[in-house]
Amino acid sequence: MAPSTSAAEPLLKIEGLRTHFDTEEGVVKAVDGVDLELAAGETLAIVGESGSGKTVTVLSALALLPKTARIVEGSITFDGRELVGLPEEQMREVRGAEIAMIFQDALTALNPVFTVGNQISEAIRQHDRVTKDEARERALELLQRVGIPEAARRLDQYPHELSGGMRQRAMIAMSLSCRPKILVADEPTTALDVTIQAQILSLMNDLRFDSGSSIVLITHDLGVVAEMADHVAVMYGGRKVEFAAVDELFAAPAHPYTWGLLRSLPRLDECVGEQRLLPIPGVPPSLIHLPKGCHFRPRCRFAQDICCEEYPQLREVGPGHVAACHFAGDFADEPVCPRSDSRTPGEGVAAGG
Amino acid sequence: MKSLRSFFNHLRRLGPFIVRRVFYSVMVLALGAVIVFAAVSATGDPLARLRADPRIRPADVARLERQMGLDQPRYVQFFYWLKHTATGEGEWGKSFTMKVPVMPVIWQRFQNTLVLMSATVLLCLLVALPLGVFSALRQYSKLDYTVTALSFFGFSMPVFFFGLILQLVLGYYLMVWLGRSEPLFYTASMYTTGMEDDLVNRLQHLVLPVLTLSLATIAGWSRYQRSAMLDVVNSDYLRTARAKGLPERVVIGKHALKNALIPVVTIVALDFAALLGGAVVTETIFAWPGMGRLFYQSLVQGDFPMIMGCVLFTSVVLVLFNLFADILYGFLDPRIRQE
Amino acid sequence: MEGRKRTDRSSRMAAFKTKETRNGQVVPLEGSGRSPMDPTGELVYVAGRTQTEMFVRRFRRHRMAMLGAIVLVILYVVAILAPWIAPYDYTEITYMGAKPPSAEHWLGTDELGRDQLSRLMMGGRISLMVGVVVAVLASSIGTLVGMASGYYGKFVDNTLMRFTDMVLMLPLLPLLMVAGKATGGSMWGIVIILGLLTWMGVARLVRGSFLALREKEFVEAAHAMGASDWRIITRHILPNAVAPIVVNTTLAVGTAIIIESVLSFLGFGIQPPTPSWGNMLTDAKSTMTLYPWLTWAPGMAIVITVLSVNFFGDGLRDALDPTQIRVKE
Repeated sequence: MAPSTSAAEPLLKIEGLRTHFDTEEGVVKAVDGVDLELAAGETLAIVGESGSGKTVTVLSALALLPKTARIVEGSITFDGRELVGLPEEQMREVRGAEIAMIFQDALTALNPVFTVGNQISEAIRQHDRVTKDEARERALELLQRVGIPEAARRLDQYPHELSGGMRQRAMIAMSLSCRPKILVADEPTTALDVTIQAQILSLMNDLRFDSGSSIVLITHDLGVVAEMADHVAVMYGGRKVEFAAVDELFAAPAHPYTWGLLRSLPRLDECVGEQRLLPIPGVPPSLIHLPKGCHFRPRCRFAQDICCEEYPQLREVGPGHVAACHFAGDFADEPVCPRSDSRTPGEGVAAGG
Repeated sequence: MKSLRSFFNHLRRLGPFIVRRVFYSVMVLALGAVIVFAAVSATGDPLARLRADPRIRPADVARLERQMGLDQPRYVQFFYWLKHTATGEGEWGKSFTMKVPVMPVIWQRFQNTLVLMSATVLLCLLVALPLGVFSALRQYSKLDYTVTALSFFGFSMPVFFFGLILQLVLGYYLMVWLGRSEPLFYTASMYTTGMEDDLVNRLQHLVLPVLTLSLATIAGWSRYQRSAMLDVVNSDYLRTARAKGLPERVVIGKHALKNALIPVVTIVALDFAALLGGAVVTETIFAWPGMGRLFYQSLVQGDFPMIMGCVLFTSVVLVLFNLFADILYGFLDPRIRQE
Repeated sequence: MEGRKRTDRSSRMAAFKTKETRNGQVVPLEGSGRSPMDPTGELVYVAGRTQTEMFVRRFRRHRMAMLGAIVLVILYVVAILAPWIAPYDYTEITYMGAKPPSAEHWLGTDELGRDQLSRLMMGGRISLMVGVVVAVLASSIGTLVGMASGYYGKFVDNTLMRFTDMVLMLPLLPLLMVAGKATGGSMWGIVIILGLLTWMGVARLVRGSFLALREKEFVEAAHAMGASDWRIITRHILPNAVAPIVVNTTLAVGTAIIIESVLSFLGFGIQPPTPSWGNMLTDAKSTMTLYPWLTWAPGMAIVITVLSVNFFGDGLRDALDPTQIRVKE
């Protein structure tokens, strides 16, 4: 790894980002004041329900937002450069080459009418001055590297001719084509079968150690987080509600939402027998008419009067561990696996995409 | 060399598909021929005019009846008709009014129609596709609203009324306004008699019929191209293309356009049917000596073999274009393959 | 959950569709795929309005559709009342020869001295009626064929769709002209022929909806409860497929009016002395440069009517159909 920044300076730094969508129904505050930092070589997971703003956050960084969206305020610095308001010309040199994306569903994310090889070498030729044959050669190497069998034949196939797992591998190969410093993976395994999911995750882990890239992993799957991430940011209603190192977060969740996410997961290692799954009741908030006070209050089992009044600021509950809750950490004595007497589950949902 | 290889790859991939489509087309033609024959012979007795004509002896009418199989069941007549039309021999295959085999006449007239159609298709492509693409790229812009409004107008305008307006305004009023004795754009025929070889004169005759025929088609194609492009513009793979750092020119020009043109190309081929239909009206209004006008006149005169010949010939053309469209689609869209 | 529009992503919503909606309905935002509010393809929810409210709101926003609706109402009222409110009898010879528009004859008179406005109103009766009846007939045939095809699938579907494709490939206008000649210009003959040759679009559309809907959980549930095919089709599937049918029927009115006018213009439709907008233009054609008002009036009548139908249909489509299902043919 060739560090171009000092160890203290994060590779990617998002400060006070607000991204809003103008719609006929009103302004959607998809991202409403988010701070994130990503150090070189680390993996940051962003966790949250659908519509919590996790994808919009990273699309803001790459200026890939739809036309209806605008970054209202905030700063995104990458490698010491400000990305917000960067001219399109220069932004293009960042995209793909410095920050590459892996999208959720490779079937729709790959162009159906061009061959896999064409789409990979196109990315290579966009950023490096190489001939068509050289680009094709490199595309072949990439396909081999991500473990696609018969890579030479696959190069001339169309996306629909590959299996789901193979397509996602090709997608990863494409994102690696210019050795990016940051790999953004937006739900990279959601569209895949469970067995394939594991393969793709282990591939990503391998690649990360090979290349030293940083990874931003967007997911709603806490299992994936546990396996991959160094740090975790939990988002809810367009804001970051908790941030911690992965072990810390799983051991001592400080925000009731995080607590609920963990509690809604089946676990085999503890509380066997007495455990009951405890879903989070209710639905995610409308991003146009956000509730007054804490966004999570309507669904929170620990809510008090103050939660209706003011939005809780992020506060430190441990070293490098922050949470946006008036009672952050106070309910920690509630076991992650409470007794079955705590309120009958039944209605409600888990975090789901 | 590479493109040739990929051509043969496509051909191998599509082989069974093509065979199936050809077989299917033959079926359609057979059905079409039956329907044409049934419909036309339902319009009355083909020999009614001859029977009513006092100059023709009943014995001659009886001879014709025998030759055409009119004394036999309908399905036998059908085969008489097919045979006579195909060979050009026998009464079913001869025009009542012109006394010549129908197919050569139709073929000759069809060439004139083809001139009209080719010019129309060319104009429509040049106008409609860019309009559709740009109004999709600038959705809800002034351009988009204007194109939308114009296309609604185009959809709502009957061909014949538009043709009449053009004759009146661009034919007559323009001539009066320019103070000419000859119109700038002619409203009848393919050329002024005696000026067959004058290209300018031919173009002056071509303009108005082509405009007439193009209006609805431009409206349709531009809407279709717009919606195809809109589907593509919001697709995930364009976001991927942008995420790779491709410039907008490549994102739109390569990734979007190829996807958006596939459905439109087939519509263009299929719309030949609508154009051939529109040509009947246009040729009638503008006295264009094409197949459509031939059909119209034959129908007015009750020239049974010619009517049937025209409809059959049109069906053949339509089936061929459908076949062509299917195969073209197969070539353009890699997702189509043999089942 | 019935009555609530859902997109194809309904499976994703599965988790949200029970008691959580008790305080106000939860409605996915309009627009297919990625709506402006749903930039990532994930669903965003707003506390919603009822469907009727949404429909009225969206339709009224469509200014041209409102205008189209108003014009159509006026046209139909005038057409229905024509015999009573027409200024003259449409056969009455009021004048010697053609006269341009004047105070007595707002749209002038034709070559025979008949009042053009009165003739236009009577012609409108025919054109507007043919349009509606043909559209309803064609849509009914199309819906039946599409229902059978989409619901039963397999062999039935194959046969019916092959047949539909074949009819689509036939040269429509020439056949209509032949048929028009065969029926000798009777209005009902033309209506039936037009209906029989223009149902294919709706059939394909309905088939598509049925194919998609028959796989849905609520249909499987109805099957499991032992409902008959007919009941499932009419009670469970058809109501969910009705919006595009209504839109297409509306738009088909415009198409039918145009085709009828073309046929009448060419002389194979409504025969004089019964006036129709098409055959009024036939008469006007030869004297167009002398009496241009005879061309403009019936022509513009067709254009305005069909334009109104198209705007109205377009507004209906946008208002009724949040997922924007469109027929592409």
